[in-house]
Amino acid sequence: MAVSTEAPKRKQAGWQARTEAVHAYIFMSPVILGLLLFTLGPMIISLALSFSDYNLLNDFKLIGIGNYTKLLQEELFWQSLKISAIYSVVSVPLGLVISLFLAILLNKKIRGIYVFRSMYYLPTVISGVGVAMLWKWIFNGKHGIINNLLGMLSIKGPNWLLDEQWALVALIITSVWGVGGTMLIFLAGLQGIPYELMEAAEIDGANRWSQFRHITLPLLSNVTFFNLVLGIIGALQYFTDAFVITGGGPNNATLFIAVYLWRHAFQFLNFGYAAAISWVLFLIVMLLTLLVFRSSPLWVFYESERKVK
Amino acid sequence: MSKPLNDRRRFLRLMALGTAAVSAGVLAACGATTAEQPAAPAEVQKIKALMWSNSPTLDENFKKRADLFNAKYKGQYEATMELLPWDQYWPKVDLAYASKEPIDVYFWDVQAYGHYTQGKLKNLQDDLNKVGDFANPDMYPQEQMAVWKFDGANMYAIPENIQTMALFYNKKLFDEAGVAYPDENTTWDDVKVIAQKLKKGDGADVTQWGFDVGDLAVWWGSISLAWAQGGGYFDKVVEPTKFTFSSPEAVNALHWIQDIMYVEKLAPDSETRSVVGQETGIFGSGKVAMYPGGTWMISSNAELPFEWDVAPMPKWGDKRAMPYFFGGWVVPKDGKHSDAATAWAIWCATEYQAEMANTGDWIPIRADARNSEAFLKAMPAGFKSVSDAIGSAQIGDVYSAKVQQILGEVISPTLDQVWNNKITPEEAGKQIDEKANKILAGG
Repeated sequence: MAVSTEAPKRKQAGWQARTEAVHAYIFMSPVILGLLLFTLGPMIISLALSFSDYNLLNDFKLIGIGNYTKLLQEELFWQSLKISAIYSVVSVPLGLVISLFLAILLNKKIRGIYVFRSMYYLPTVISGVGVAMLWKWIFNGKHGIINNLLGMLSIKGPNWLLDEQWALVALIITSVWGVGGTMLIFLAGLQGIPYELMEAAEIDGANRWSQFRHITLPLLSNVTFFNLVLGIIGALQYFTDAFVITGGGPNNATLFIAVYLWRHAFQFLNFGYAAAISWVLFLIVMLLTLLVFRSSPLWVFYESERKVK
Repeated sequence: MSKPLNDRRRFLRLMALGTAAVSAGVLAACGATTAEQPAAPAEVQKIKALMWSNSPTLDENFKKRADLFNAKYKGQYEATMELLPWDQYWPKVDLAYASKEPIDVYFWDVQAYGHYTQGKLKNLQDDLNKVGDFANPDMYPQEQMAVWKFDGANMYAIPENIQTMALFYNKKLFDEAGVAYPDENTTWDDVKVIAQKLKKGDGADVTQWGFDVGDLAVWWGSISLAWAQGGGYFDKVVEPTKFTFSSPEAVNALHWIQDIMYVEKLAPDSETRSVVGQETGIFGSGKVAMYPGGTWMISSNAELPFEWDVAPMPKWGDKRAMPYFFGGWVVPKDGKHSDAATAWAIWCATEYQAEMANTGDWIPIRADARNSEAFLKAMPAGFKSVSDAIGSAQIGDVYSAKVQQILGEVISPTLDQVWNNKITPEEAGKQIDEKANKILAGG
């Protein structure tokens, strides 16, 4: 007599699927719990704090949107937003252009190229505070190496870190120091571009610039998109160098929004107000990121899209 | 037959269980409260005394102080001294309050006034009333101490040392130039004349400076010059209602400091100050003849490899003014071992004073220790004249819940602009008054 084995098989398959799902959840549990405890939990608490006047010493008391209305009337808040915006608008494109340029240079097949790649990437792994201290010396108006070099060319360098008009410029210049990470991602992208495309273009008579403009750039657009998003987020959260090199000065000329937030949270203990700043910063970062994502169909090229068409 | 060890499902199961066990362990460790310690003998109250780190010698002496206290109160109280870097000090104190487990007893600075305004500090007046001679003006400076009676009647902190400012000078540089040392008759005008004689080189090639602005670059230093003219920076010390940086006296004070750097060029400017003697301080570089600084630097400067001394702060015309500061202890109202903490604070201000005099670390609050032979022997020769001038000093603090914000956002950045020669003292005074008074008014 033929016995049907379908039902037990289905039952076994269901049991296996459930077991695998349990395993999957157990494997994911450290990350999920970490996210809940150390990211989502603090986010919810900070949201609640932003509607309170909590200062570590008093009891938690809700004050409605008081912190947000105060924020909008605060001159230094707008100053900090302005500084962060200028820094982002200048340093992000500058960083992208320089890192792409370096990546193209380091994409050559020449002897010792790995040494150069390591050298350019090295600054990325050096401690931020240590490097910031070095920059402080480099930019010293009287004894710094930059002004000494300018002096050799008979140019009187500015008091970089003590002059309101130059301090932010100095910090933007220091941002170039850390392009190694972005460069590495561009380099990976460049190595993914098929050589045949360049060869075909060359046969068709395209010069180097045309190859770069019509092949390299479009095929790197997804990498550029990735770097742009990370760059915007990083620039708006910029803190260490400004904190160590200028401390937000002179006269608040480098008061980045993260420095302004830190001051209120840990210097003045205005935790409620600082939480409100952090949520405004979060919303700005989210909006800009969404904007870049929405704009991506206009300028980001994915090979998979071409195939579908 | 037993399943092979490399069976995929078995392996996955083991890994999953292992991962879960590790994450549960980590979380449990994060969330776990400290295991119950074996109960200490009921009669011994164990306390933690917190201070910020100053220098290896001073820190070591704080630890020895705890040993002396423990020996004195053996079987009754036991103190552990903890020393933290300055930038970690107040966050630690504030977080301890937030977690409802305040530090038993901690060292005072203006931030603790915020703890008073939040009702966190213990009223120590009753305890001090029981201390024999604490109300004796010949032993403890009653007039100066009254400033810590924030409510006008009760002490909320117990002072153990008193600090002021003095004019430090490098004897070697004076001797080489054949110039007489500054003394109690020296005026701020004299300082510029002397500094000119001691300066070597010019323009970018200065090899020795006659003066450094030192702590005059901080508001509590520069205010001395305004006080000496009969002015000041605010209307009252506790909860000021008005800042007066634009007053003629305040503007004159700022001008004196800015001018000696940028007009007379007798002192290094901000740019040079930021890079000279980063390890030792600009005076420690041996290239500066004089600087006004806090007397708490006396013990640190003792290690400098040249001869130096101190003189009282110079006079403005015929009047001398300088700030004083108290070092002392505060006890949280809701501390677990309030008795032991209070005993520590009182012991430091009374019995320990003689030992403080011996170490020479701080200027004892108690007159007999401050004027003792042992203490004066540990001090530079000119110290007695500095100590004698303390009677005319004014508190170098300002107590307001908003003072940290006003200092951080308004006063310090604006004064930095003056010291960087970017704005005039007149402009600075106007800007500070406008912005600081707006914050005071709740704007």
